[in-house]
Amino acid sequence: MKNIQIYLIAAVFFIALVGIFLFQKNPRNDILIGAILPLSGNSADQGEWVKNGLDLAVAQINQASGAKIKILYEDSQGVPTQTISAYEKLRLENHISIVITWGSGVGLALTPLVNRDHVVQMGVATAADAYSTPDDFTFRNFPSASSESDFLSSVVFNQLHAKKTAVIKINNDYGVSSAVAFKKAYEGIGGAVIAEESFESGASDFRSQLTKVKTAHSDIIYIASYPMEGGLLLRQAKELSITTPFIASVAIMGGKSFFDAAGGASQGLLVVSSVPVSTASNPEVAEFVKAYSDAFSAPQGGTQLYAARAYDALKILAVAARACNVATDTECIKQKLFATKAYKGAGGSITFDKNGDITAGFHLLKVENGSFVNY
Amino acid sequence: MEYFIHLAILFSLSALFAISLDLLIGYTGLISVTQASFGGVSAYTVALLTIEYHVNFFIAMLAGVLLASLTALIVGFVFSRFRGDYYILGTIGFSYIAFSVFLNWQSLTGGPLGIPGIPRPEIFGFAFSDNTAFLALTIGTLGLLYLCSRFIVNSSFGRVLKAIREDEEAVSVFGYRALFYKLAIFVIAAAMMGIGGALYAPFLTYIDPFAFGLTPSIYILTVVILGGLGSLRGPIVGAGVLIALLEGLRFAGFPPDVSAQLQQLIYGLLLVGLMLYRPQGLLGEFRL
Amino acid sequence: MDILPQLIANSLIVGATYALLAMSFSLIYSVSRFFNIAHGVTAAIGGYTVLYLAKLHGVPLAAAIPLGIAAAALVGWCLEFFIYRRLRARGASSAVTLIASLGAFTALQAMLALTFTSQFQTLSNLVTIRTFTIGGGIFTSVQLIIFASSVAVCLGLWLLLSYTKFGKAVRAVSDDAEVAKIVGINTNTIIGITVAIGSGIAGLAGILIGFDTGLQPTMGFILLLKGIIGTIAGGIGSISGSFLGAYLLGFVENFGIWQISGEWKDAIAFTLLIVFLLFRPQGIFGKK
Repeated sequence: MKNIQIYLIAAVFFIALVGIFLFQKNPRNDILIGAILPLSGNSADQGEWVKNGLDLAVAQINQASGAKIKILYEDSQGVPTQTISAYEKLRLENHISIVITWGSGVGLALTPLVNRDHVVQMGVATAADAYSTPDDFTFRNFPSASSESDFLSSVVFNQLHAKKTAVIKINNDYGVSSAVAFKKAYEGIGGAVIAEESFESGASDFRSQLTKVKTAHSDIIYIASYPMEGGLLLRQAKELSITTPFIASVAIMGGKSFFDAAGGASQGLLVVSSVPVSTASNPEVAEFVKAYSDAFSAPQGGTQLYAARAYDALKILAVAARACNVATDTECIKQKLFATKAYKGAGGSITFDKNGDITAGFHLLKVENGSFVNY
Repeated sequence: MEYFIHLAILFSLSALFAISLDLLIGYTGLISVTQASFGGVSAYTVALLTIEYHVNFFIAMLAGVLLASLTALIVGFVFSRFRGDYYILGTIGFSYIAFSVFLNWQSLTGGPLGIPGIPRPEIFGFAFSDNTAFLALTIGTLGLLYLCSRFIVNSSFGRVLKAIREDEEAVSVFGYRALFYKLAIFVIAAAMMGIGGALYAPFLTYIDPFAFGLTPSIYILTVVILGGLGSLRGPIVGAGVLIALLEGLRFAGFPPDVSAQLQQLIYGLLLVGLMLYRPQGLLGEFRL
Repeated sequence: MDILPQLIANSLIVGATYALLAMSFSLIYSVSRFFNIAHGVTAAIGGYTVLYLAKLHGVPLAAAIPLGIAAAALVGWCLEFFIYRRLRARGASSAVTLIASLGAFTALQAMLALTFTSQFQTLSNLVTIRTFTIGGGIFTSVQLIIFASSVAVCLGLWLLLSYTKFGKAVRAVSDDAEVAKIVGINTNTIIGITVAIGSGIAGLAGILIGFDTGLQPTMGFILLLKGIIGTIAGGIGSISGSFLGAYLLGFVENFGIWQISGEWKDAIAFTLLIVFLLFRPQGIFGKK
């Protein structure tokens, strides 16, 4: 192939690409909201639940009168650098002014960008404490790591009377933030973290870490992990005859793989979650569970948490977006969000404080016979 | 249109990375799969200096390049005795070690949380915050480094490199210390990656260890092999074609949850196809 | 010191997994003379085949497992037949074949992810697993099987290579392929069968890992790298060397993170690699 032919082929490529760009059509009447979620990769289950929650909310909202909402989905693979590329595309190509994101690292990475661009960011699974920044464009419908760890450490110290805890965490943005927050809260009320181990995201062999933790003889073991790793960890702990009880942060509920990975070892695990499992508590929860079951399948444990948070978030955003001129006035949307007080959602009552955070009520759950039930 | 500028910046940086690797593989025959690590050293240096100490970007970049070059000097020296497949393996090993350091030295690098909010470069009061201005910066840098590379490969130094590529034993017989030349080009290539990495940080405004692991290094390798080894225009064409291909996928309307795997599938098939049918790539002069 | 027996047990378990991959890799390398990166994905293919048959279609394990091994062997053989053989016939360098295998690896892994999703899945719920305490260390039944398999494979390969006609042909090809051809050995056939055997062993490893922990499409790569480290430490081209080198790696990793934190496990493994490459590239048992 002569060089000139190669240049020609490359040129054709570029022209085709430019052509595709120029012919992109967006329906101008709809309100476009971007959603950057882990649709592939290790957290794809959570991505799917969030997407289901969003789709459910959109379907209901669009039935009522008012501008139609359309969500543009992009895949972050759970990775911040991918998220930034996706964000730039949504902003520059589709001119979105609201973006829904998943993940702590992701949320933190996008914060300077959304503030620069005056785009509202709503995190639906963002735990990191550093995300709390006053009076800016970042919001989250998810409790911060320190609010979870305040409750968690109180449960461990006061309710379960465990004075010495071992910590095992996943070495990513979620695990690191959660472990730091837990340590601070727990040591603050008099507890002692006597061992701390970590493992890589995607790891499948925890025996060395578990062996070390076993010799520490703690009263309880706290794990901050994703579902697959957490499940395998529990299984291997059982194989190693570790009888110390385990308590975990909410992310371990974030995937179908947990029960598969843990097998029978999941029995008795304690988990802290901000969404109640029973539907008897309030009608919004029951209504959501029914709608979700009709559209998809009965939500279990983690599904309900992540889908409900996304569902509520979108409904609140939609109301705010319809009341403002979305394309030009995101300051208006921001103010409407700050004004949200005691919104009755499927994930509990929602009020945004000046940091754009919510205060959530927490519940202690435990695993019994393959499902999450109230403690 | 604005997104096109964003892509153009990505393109110029990719081309820059690819040229640096081409100097190693195409001209000297050193197959290294750890270029991204040196970009990472520089990027983290720039991020920390500009955010913590408010050092001017261009001075921070200089520091980053120096640090990357120093690291390369040490690594290059340690690996200089390896040949062929063992060299490749050694570079894969270093790539993992560097990634571990980025990930686990959390007090310095922030670990998995990364470093967000990296400011755009500023010089004499002019800030490159607008993407168009930044594009001018990256294209300008690409052009400059392209000319430097051309100077290097056409010089007598470059001729020795090509001789090493063809037959390293013969070169030493003729009295040239091959080690010195290999080390020199390894450091030069790392310095170029240092410049690229320094620009990459404020472009994305966020860096984390995953941006500088083995996968990005393999991506750069694919670009270079696709574009063609042993020619300087090859990496530029390779970068352009690969980015166009990947973006084309995005617009082709595949459901978002499979596009990542499809990308991987295409990389893989590309590499196999190239090796079978056109190992010199699109424009290359050196057949691996 | 009550931790010591369990540490030893952990090292043996992990070492056994690495050993299966190291031995099979070494076997294939000895006849084909390049680093076959795609070897890692044949392990995953073995595991996923059993998943597909046993878990999704209820095929009894007694049939599913041999089919899984066969599938892995077949894929390995196809790669050799359609890709590597052609490159070899062209006189392509080992670097080219390495890159082609990298491409094949990426493509196959992506296909697994597309077919089975990249979510974790496990075979362990298909069997009841018992634990045993031996010498103070705890093992599960699957882990004991992995250990026994590694020993069986080592012995089996030794017997095969030393006492059968096929084995002699393999050794002839690995010593000097050109001479083997002259003597009348059909090198391509021998290589094909050897690759099939090696891939089958990798498939077995993947299946056993599927029972012990679980399967992910990306599982192959790091397993392969650890296998390669084991092979190099033990001596490339030597089956018993790979066996011992892999266990050595298992011990170094586990005892290493006893003193240093768990997150540095991979960095420790690759540092071991570089140490061997620097000071004893032929490994403990290798011939130079």
